[in-house]
Parts: sequence; C-alpha cells; structure tokens
Amino acid sequence: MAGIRLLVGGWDRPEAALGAARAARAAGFKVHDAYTPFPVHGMDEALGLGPSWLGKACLAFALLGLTGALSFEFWVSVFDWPMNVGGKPFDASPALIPVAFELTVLAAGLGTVATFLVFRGLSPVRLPEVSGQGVTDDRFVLAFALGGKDDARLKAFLGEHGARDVRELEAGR
Amino acid sequence: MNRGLLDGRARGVLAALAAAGAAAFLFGTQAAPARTWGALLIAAAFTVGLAAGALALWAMLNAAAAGWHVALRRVPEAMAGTLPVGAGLIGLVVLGAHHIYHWSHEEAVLHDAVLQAKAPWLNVTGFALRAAAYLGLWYGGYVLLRRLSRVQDEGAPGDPVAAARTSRGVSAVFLALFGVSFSFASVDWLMSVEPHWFSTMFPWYQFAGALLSALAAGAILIVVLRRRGVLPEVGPAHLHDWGKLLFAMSSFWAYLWFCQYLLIWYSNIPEETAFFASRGGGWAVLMAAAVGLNFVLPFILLLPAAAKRSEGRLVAAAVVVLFGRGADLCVTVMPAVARHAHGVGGTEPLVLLGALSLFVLAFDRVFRSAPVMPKRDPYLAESLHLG
Repeated sequence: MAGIRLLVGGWDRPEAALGAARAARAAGFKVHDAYTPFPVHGMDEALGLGPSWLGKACLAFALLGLTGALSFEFWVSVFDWPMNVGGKPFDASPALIPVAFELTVLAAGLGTVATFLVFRGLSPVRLPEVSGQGVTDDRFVLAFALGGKDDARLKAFLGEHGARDVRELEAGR
Repeated sequence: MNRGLLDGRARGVLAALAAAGAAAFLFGTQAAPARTWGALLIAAAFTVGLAAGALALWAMLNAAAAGWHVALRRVPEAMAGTLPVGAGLIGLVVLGAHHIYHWSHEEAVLHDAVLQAKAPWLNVTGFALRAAAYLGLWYGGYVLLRRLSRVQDEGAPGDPVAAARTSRGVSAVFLALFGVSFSFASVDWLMSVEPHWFSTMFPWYQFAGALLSALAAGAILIVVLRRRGVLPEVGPAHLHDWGKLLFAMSSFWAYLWFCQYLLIWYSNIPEETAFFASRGGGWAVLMAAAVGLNFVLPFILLLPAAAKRSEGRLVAAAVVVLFGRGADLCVTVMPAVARHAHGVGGTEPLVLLGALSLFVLAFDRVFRSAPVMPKRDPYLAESLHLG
C-alpha cells in the first residue's frame, strides 16, 4: 500500500471517530483505515468491513493439529513402538486425548496469528502507514485515500466533523 | 415498574406444573421411594446449582469490574435470589436422607470400616447443619450484593460509585468463601451418594456443571425478557458475550469431566473405578448423553461467531445444555439409589419440572422487585455502548 496519498484526521474520543466513520460512509467516502489505541466496538461495521475469515483459518489449523496429533500418537503407540501400560490396549483412545487437545490448541493459536501477520503484511521491518498522529497514545485516527475527484469535499467533510491535525501524508513515510 | 418475565396465564401454567411435580413426588414416595427421593435430590441440586451458579457469575463479574453486563445484570441477580427454592428442596433431601444416602444407615455403617471412619463427617445431623451453613452463607452473600446493587437504582440513596467499589471487594471475599463452601456442598450432597468413592476433581466438575446450567438458563431468560421488550438495551453484542461464556463453560465442563475420567481410567484403582464401573451397562446411554448434551452438541451449535449473536441458536444450545445437566445429575445420583433400574422413570421428570417451575416463578418475583436497569451504575454507559 506504500506510495498512496492519505488524508488523516484525529479525534480525542472513540464515539466521535465512530460517528465520523459512519457519516463518511453515509456521505459516500471510503475510509481507508482506522487507527485507534484500543478496539472500538462497532468500528468494523462503520468501516463496512465484512465478517473476518480468520475464524475459518483457525478452524482449519485446529483440525490440522487434531488429526496430526492423533495420527502421530496412533502410529507411535500401535506401530512404531508399542508399549504395555497397565495392560491397556495399544490404541487406548483416552490416553491420546491430552496431547491431541494441546496440539489442537497450539496449532490453532500459532496458525491464526501467523495467518493474520502474513495476510496483513505485518512485520517488524515494515513501516506503519500512519505514524506520529498519537495513534499509539490517545488519538482515534481515520485515514482516507486521496487522488479522487472528491478530495476537496473530503477535506471539508473532516473539518465539519471536528477532526484535528488534518494533514496529507504518503503512506509508510 | 417492570413487566417481568411472566403474564398471569404463564404463572398459572407454571403453578400447575409445580403442583403436578409435588403430586408426582408424593405419589412416587409411596410407589418407588428410592428412585423418587433420588429424583428429589436431582431436582434440588439442579435448582440450587442455577441460583449458586448465577450468584458466582455475578460475583465474578463484580470482582473483575466488568462493564458489559450491567444492562442485563438484574437477570443473574434475580436467578441468585431464587436460592430459597433450592434451599427448601435441600431441606426435603435432609428429611429423606435415609432413602438417598447409604451412609445414613446405621446398621450398614456398623459392619463397614470405611463408613465408620467417615462417620464423623457423614452423619445426618452434620449433613443438615452444614447444608444450613452453606446455604446461609450464599444467601447472606446474595443479600449483601443485592443491597449494593440496589444503591445504583434511580432515586436510591447512597453513592453509586462507592457502592460499586464496595461490591467489588465484597464479591472477591465472597468468591473465596463460595469456592470452599461449594466444594464441600458438592461432596456432601452429590459425591456422598457413593460413600466409598472419592474424587478430588468432583467439586470442580460440579461447579462447572452448575455455572454452565446457570448460563444456559440465563440465556433463555434473557431472550424471553428481550422478546417481551423488558430488556430494550440488550443487543446482539450482549448476547454474543453471554454466548461466549456459555461456550467457554461448556468446554470447561468437558475439560473437568475428562480430567476426572482420564485419571481414574489411567490408574485403574478399584476403589476409584467403582464409580464408572457401576455406571456402565444400561447407564452408559445417560453417561454418553451427559457428555454429548453438555459439550459436543453445544460446541458445534455455538462455534460460529454469528451463532452466539442469534437468539434462536443461543436458546437451542441452552435447552440442550439444560437437558445435559439433567442427564449428568441423573447418572451421578440414580445408579447409587437404584442400581438396577436403568433409565428414567415416569414420575421423575415431573419432579424436576415442578422444581424448575418454582425456580421460574421465584425468578419472576425477584426480577419484578427491582427496576430492570441500575441507572446510576458507573459502568452502565460502557454496557450501553456495547451495541
């Protein structure tokens, strides 16, 4: 996304930023992104984001961890190295559950975080699109992409809705 | 000031069900005393569990200074206020202890070294006194927390912010006392139906069951109240949070159930395996139903995020869980009081249904006795912003 021109404006209260995001969508502007110090309830609807598909990725990784753990344990305890534990059958299923449970949770957790990082392009060496606006402190910032025919109307809109520190910046600079 | 849960007709139907339950109980004590007294214990544990689970949930939310639940807080409050119904049923259990608990038979204890050693704890007088102490402690906690919550009503005297702060401290202390007393209560009322058997996991597994059933009953009550327009401020986000707790507690229940089962299965010591060995055969169906209805089915029903926000899906999962709680208590109690009579008899569901009708009637009464919304609560704004 680096290289695009953004118009950013900040608000001091989450309700104000939320209201501005809703009004912007109603006025036909597309909000590029919102930057807030904590998750604001309702912001995803206000930005018009659909339901996240991250849950499906989580389920896929969970099933991968579950089947992987069960088949590995089964292979080890029945084929590779059968051991007699208290006379129980080699394929005793209750004994397989704890490891299968832990690996399900581990695969689902790590897999979901990795999916999120990869698909959002987040990494320690990547520059943030918007910085220096107090977004990591106490400011609720909305960013709009510039370059359309509505640029003037957009600036007026931000002024009307009480945005502070309105400025243009190059994403990632 | 508040239209409550039930209209006149619903109250009439529930009163009739309660009367039918009482009649079934009286008839059963003559026709099949062992199973009927067992059914009474199931009904008592179920009803006390709903009130105690809601009380613990309410105290946890207070202690965590949670804000999201304030708009619907009066629901767990009123559920906790139904404790006298369960206490009355436990009182009946004390009267019928001889029909339920093997350790109450003096002639059996005489010839049993294990029961003799346990007699200083497992005797009817001690059982009755301890039950009174547990229930008294919980009701005392309810009265105290309720008084602090009522300070937050519109027009009430007192400082709502100070009340919220006090309520947080009281809840934290109460939770510690509740954890200990609920463990003892589970051992007394339920684990001692098999007086030779013991499991250190049992109290926590019962606590998870009680909290799970309270969340399920709460979900149904919230949805019905919402449909009646009594909880106008409660939206899909509140249902979502409640549903997440229901989903989490269902998984927690399964976790504890399996922890108990795995250790007993793995070490294979006869005095521990006796519990599961005597619940095989004809009882295995109920055992499987308890696991399927408390965990497997609710897990599948509630897994998608949208399911927890949907009234219909939430109620469906909650009803499944309540049946699961019934099956779980049934397979805990019944094999001990009537080992060879598998399944569920004719009058027993009526006893439970009667007790649950009394619970709903009491809930409505307590719920009506206060405004729906604690308008001065410092966290109310947070709850209303949830959406």
